[in-house]
Amino acid sequence: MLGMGRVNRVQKLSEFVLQQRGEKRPRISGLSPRIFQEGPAAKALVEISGKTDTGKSFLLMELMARCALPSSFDGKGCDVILLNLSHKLSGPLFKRRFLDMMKETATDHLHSADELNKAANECLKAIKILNCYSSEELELALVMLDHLLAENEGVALIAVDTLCEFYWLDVREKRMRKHSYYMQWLSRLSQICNKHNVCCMYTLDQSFAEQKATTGTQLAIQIKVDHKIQLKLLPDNQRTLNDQPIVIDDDGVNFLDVS
Amino acid sequence: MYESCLDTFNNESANQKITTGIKELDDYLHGGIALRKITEFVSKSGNGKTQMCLQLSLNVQRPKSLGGLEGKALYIDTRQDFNPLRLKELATHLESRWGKVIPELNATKMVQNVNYVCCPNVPKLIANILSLDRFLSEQPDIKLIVIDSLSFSLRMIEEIAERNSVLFELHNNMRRLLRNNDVALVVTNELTHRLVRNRFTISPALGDFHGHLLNERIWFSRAQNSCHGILVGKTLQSHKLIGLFKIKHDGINNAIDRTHGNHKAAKRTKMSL
Amino acid sequence: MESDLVVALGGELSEYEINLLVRNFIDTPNKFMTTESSKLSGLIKKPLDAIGEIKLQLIKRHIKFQTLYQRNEDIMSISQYGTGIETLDRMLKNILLPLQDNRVWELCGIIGTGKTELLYTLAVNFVCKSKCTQEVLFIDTKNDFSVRRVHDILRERKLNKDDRDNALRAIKVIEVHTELTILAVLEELYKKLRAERTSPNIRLVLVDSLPACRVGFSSDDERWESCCLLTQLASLVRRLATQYHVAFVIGNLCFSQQDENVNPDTYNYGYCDDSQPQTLQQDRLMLGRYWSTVSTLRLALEHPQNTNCSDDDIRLVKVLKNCYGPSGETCLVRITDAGVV
Repeated sequence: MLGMGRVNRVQKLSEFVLQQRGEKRPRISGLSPRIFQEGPAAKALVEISGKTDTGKSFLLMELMARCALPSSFDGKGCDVILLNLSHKLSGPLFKRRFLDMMKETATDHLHSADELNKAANECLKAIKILNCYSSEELELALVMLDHLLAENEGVALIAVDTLCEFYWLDVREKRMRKHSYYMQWLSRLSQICNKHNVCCMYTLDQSFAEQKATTGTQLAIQIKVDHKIQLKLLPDNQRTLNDQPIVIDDDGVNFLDVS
Repeated sequence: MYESCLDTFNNESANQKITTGIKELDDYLHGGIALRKITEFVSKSGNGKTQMCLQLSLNVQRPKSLGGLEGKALYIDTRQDFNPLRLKELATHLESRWGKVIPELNATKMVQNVNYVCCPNVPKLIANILSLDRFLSEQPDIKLIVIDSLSFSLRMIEEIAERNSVLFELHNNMRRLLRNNDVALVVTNELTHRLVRNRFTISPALGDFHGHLLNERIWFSRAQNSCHGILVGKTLQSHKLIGLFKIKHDGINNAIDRTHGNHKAAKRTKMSL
Repeated sequence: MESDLVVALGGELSEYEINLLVRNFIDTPNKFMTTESSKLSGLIKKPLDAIGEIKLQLIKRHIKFQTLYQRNEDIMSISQYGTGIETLDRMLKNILLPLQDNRVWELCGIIGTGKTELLYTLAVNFVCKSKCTQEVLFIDTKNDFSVRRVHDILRERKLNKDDRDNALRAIKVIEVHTELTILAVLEELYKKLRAERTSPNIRLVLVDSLPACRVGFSSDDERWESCCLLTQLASLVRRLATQYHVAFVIGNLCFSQQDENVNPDTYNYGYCDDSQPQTLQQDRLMLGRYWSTVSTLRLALEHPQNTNCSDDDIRLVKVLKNCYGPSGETCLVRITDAGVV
């Protein structure tokens, strides 16, 4: 619980002090070299796009799990905050992935089942969820996020599943292009990432990521996305990630190497 | 706001139905054609749909003392197949049965109680259905509306998107009508060939979504000895035979000969609707 | 809107201060939260840290956050009902997804496969298992609900009259015709659950079927409005499921890909509509791409393709989509007088 004095300090922190705090955050670079090469860097925006049922939420879950896993199990050992808009990711699923990932590493034989279970629970505690059911709640959640990040140096990743989920609710009165809507929310996230030196990964339906050619005025907001991951499900049930074949199953998301 | 099933169940026995004249069908429908629901009769032509519609238009007039609704009917005819002489013939036979209870209900009166509208084209059909609300408020005795046939009219529309648009607009209006009025709606439909999962199958026209919106679908087939089979179920794959009937001069009757052999014949007919 | 602000801030701010905010166009809690604290401080003459504290308290009241560990513990403790259908429960157990609170499932199939029958069976099994302490809400969009059929299912299970009556009493039915009415019904349920009233104790909501209340759109505007309502419905369903532990099983319709009478574009307004990879054998779903992301499990009811199977009452249940694991698992069920077994 934040007391009044601490709130006072939060309000008075200058940009420089925030930056200092940001520098202390754990880094998630080198998370998945095959996807990110050396990144993702702090403040990076990672877009996971694709049509329905292509595995976006699953991939996000994989990346979150990899971040929350301690370094002794080849993870990044950081805290994660999940903005939960589509309510698909579940605790039991994460726990299963944590246990599987731990068993994959070389050190797993050193731990008993009980110890692994305890470690998995600790990883679960490292992931905070903010549930949102409307754009108003998402706005409030972003304000809450600001406070949470200021108070918690261990958070290195903000995950959003799924950005633009409430598009149809918001455009009821006033129509807006999907890409413009996306950019509006992305700019909010980008501000938070820059202010607190965290990375943000989000899933997005393909239709929002595509920018249709407009005649006339340019779109007002354009935010540069650092990493774009596009998932596809091909007619023969093959899956690809940025056109590289992958397999999604109980072992997670793995690249299929054609030998 | 919600009603529990128990309350609905206790009230349901009070609901009245329009008898079809076929015992097995009435048993299946728990008394007959239900009010506030859409019932469809589908078959190839010549298997008794129009005869059933005529019969229902008279059955709805059954006196209350005999368990009927004592109501009137509205017959919307799109194929110009309506035969008033046949209606009179059927009414005369019913007069001999009901005349003892209500002497003033003679054949002529019964025929008069069937309001008739001819809709040879789609615009007329739409216009009539849209004006039904007002018509029913002026004639609250109407308990049955027949549209014979729904598909005949709509299939005149070549363009599929337009056809669907009209069909669903009609559905919206019909559903609203049934919510606001205590009437039964009976429509007839034809069979057509459709490509389903790479195989041609016989199925009712107007598509699956139309079938989904119906409350009841009843098929008529041709069987031996001038009988017709009655099958129930939404699709050919899920339907089952429940009985047989014959069309005689006095109307639709149960097929008398219901031996094992006859059933077999009807079952074979299932494959050749 | 003003009243929302009064409710949200009535404890912290005076009426005068709230009126000041409203006059400056800050008339909702959301606007209060997103306005700069320094501006608010200037307006109502309160110190910055006090504004910060008010904002924090407001957030905490409105936004509940928990760690995944706490969420996991909650899930482990909630009741698992099972569907009551042996083969189906076995299959669901294999994919680690028994029927329980907070599920949002979709049941689809082409017409005539027995979706309604399965929904009746789920309702009956649910009330019987909970000994009628928990209730089912059956939302009927086609005026098709047959109490008689439900009664017959109960009778076939050899229940005595009292038990049958109790079960019927625990199954609530409501007829709806449009998306707006479904929304109204669920919002009413949400209000009651939020107010923590003891009745209705509805823990399972069955909808038969959602496409039937989206019949035909005569204009672009109607289509647009319908998409908006569908999203609103999805949000409310999710909220009821996750916050108030209500399970949902929503009926959807498949149509054969080659059915010329349905134009799926009508229902996919505004969403990517290039064909999903589909084999010719696959059926397409109604309600569009957005709705297909809402449910976490999609089950399809089909006639078995195996031509050796001459039994008309056998159906195949297939897992079409599973957010939490593998899809493609199947099991066989039979439609009997006592429901689906």
